[in-house]
Amino acid sequence: MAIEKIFVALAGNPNVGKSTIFNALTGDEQHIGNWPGKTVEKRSGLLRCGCNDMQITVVDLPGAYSLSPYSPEEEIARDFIVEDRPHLVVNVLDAANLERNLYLTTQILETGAPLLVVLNMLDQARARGIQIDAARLSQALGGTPVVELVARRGQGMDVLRDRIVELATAVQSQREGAGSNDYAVGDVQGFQDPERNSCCV
Amino acid sequence: MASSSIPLHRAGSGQPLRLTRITAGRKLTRRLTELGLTPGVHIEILHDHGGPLVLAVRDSRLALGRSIAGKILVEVA
Repeated sequence: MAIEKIFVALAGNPNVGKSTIFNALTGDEQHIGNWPGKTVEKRSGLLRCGCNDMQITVVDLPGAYSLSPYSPEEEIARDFIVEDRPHLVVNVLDAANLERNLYLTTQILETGAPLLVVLNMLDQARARGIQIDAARLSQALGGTPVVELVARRGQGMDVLRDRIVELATAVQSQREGAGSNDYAVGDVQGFQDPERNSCCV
Repeated sequence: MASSSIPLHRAGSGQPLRLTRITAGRKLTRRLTELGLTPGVHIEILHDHGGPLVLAVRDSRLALGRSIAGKILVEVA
């Protein structure tokens, strides 16, 4: 059987745990720092999943608040999501800063990219008295799957890994069937529409 | 602009503030908006020791240089 090449991107605001998740998923030991802006270029590694007939590459993108880039790192993140069209975008959210984090999430949704949302740092959110209803969040995001995680303790990591394999391979077969590596054309046009893309005040 | 509006870096810490207007260029205004600094939002200054300000906005902390803070107008909430 041919080895399938599948790409999964980790995206999210700065300092939400993307690199911690990347290391856990790939077995890599990329340096982790507790400050925003640590990752300034994208890094990739192979997902450890025991799935022999396919190869899933995980790409750790620099932190971004928005897909309308303000800094070079954000441009790297935007270009990868919009132009390289990964089979799955894993959007990591800091559960304790949900409102600000969801701005990027809605922008990724508008690109039409296949999306999985990860609620990370749930322990810190709970410690601050924040309770999040993951099912309702998923519903509010148009049925986007949501996984709960405490990455630094590894809680939820197996579920996340399984969901990534499941969703990314589904997109892969879908694209093979459609003979196209493109997002739905309508979605891309919607994203590029200058009126929708302009902001806000 | 309401006459009671003052630039954020002169507002002082320890009192609830409300954003009235951003007087920056288009790009910076969009950026600040993306970070949650929208008209009407509540802001509190957590640290102001002469350098960058640390703000509490929408459950997040945000550090801003004084020159940018000077383009954000607020009133006491």
